[in-house]
Amino acid sequence: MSCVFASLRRFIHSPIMLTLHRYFLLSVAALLSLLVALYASVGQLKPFASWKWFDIIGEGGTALLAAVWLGIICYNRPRGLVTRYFAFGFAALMLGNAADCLDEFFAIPKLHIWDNILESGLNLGGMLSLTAGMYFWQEEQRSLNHHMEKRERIFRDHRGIDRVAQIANAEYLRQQITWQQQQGPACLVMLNIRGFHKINRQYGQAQGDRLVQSLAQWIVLNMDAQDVLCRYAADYYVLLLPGLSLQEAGDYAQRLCDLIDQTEFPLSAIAMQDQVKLRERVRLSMNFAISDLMTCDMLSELSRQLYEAEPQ
Amino acid sequence: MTGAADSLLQFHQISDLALPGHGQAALLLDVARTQEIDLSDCVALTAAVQHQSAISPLTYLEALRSFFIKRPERDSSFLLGQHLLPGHYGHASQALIHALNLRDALRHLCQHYQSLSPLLRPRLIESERFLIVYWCDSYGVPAMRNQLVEMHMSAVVDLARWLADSRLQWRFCFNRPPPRTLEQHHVFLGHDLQFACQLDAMVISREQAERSWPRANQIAWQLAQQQIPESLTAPSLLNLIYDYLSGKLRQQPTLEKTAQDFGLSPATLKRHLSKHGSHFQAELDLCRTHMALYLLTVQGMDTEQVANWLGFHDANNFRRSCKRWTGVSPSSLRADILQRLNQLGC
Repeated sequence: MSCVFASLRRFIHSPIMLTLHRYFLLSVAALLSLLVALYASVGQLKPFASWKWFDIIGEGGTALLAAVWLGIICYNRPRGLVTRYFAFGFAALMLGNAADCLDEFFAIPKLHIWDNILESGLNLGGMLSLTAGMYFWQEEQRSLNHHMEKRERIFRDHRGIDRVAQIANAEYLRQQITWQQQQGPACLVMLNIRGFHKINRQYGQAQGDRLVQSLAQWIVLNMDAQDVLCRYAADYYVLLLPGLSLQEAGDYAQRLCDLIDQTEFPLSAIAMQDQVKLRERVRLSMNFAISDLMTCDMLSELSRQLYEAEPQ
Repeated sequence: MTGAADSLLQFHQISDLALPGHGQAALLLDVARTQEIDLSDCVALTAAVQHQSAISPLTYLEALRSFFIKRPERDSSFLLGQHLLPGHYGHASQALIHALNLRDALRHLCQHYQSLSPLLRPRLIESERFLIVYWCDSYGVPAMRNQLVEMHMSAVVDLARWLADSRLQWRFCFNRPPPRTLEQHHVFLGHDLQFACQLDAMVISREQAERSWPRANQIAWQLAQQQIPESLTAPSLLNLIYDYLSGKLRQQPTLEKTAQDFGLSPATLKRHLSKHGSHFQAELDLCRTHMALYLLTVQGMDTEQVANWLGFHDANNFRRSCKRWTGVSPSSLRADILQRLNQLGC
């Protein structure tokens, strides 16, 4: 969630999204001027006295608002199917209402029916396009929810996301534990990186942070959908595993640790210090402690067990 | 620098340019950068680091405060602390890496606190069985005291863990009520934590403190120590007055006499102290509390003897004063602390 805010902040400064849609927006502007030119050349300017102000404000206002909506969509969304449908819909709605409004200034001879077709066609087409956009947006939201599921389960609260690891933090974990108490049995597994402080000393803190983040994302990819991963503190993570017995959770955690042992994690070139070679990778190994007691006090007990497992 | 020109009692204050720009200030900017925290509004700090010119403790503290506000996560203080030591503060930092064991490293840290730990001064007590490091505020910033203590304790713990290449069994005392959650303390410091104590201290058994460190090198250690230039900076006002009062506790020091020895008028001393959020009586009580604690626990005196040593007319008087300083009577204070110490390493 915090990455969403970061990106929001970023393109308030430089509207990257807007530049993505610049050709589309330019074409819409060109079409609008074409429309004005068409009405002006074919139609006769009505005398000022016969202008119907009520219609002008109603239709012109609708066109203006449709333009604002088009702007909001283009400002906030990357290119894609949903964006395209929304953008076409609002653009058509805007042009249709603009044509409607131009009708009030220019008298088109009764013989011509193109202007009626244009108005109705654009409005109907716009509505159809918007409806299609709504439909696909629904699907998109569902898949985004699915994507967030492993990270948030039933709560959505951006304050519960850890800044570095981009997963839930200890505060959120406590909420989850309280919630899980009513849901049935579950296990808590706490994991930490063996000798993490040495990695921090050797490669620097920025690199350590990157590793904490990569490892978090790696675990998210390798765990089941109903599990929850949180960062407890520093290099300590907690997995909440609903519905598993102590034995099963132990096997699960052991498998995870075995997999991590076999994985090489990339060192980031951005956080690179002089002594890190390009494309260098490190191996990490993890310890874990486990409990089937769903209480917040259990967390400090688990961290004590891991702490004491460190060599003296 | 202020103070009597001819006497040894020279000191600097929170607004004097007493800290090097390449020291901990540079480190703060570095950590802020990796954490994507923008400290460009701390103009004085940024400029000093760039030109490697001196800054005032006030500037550094304000930048720290700004960092903690912009990064409100609970681990910020510990994170900063982790890289505080040995640091890149010249020869004192260089030497620290070659320390033979924890005891020598702690002695070194306390001796060269001006470059290694200027904001909170570590003070070392070596008893028969324990080494106790307790932290004294050099500039009087109660609002940031908790974060500074976390930062400095985490610095020492991390340094020792790195140089000893193993986990040491520290015990921690905090002069504060327990925080709402403890996960950061547990992970960065350890599980042996006591809150609502009378001072911020960390304790380690002598056996662990004297265990030789894997990279210990006698020759390098001695050479490095010889290369450290004599510190030219006078101590901070609060550190100096603490030292002064500690040495004169038995002579019932007064504001007037102290001001005279410092070459100041009582009003000026008062004004200087209030700039550091303190006053004379508070400093005196602090010194007496620490001394009473020392005598009760390390020296093993009883209440009567301590009262006598501190110059109280009778033990009852001392008991009343002790309750005022610490909130508890001397005997329960002693029992409490002895019990904690005896749990350690036994």
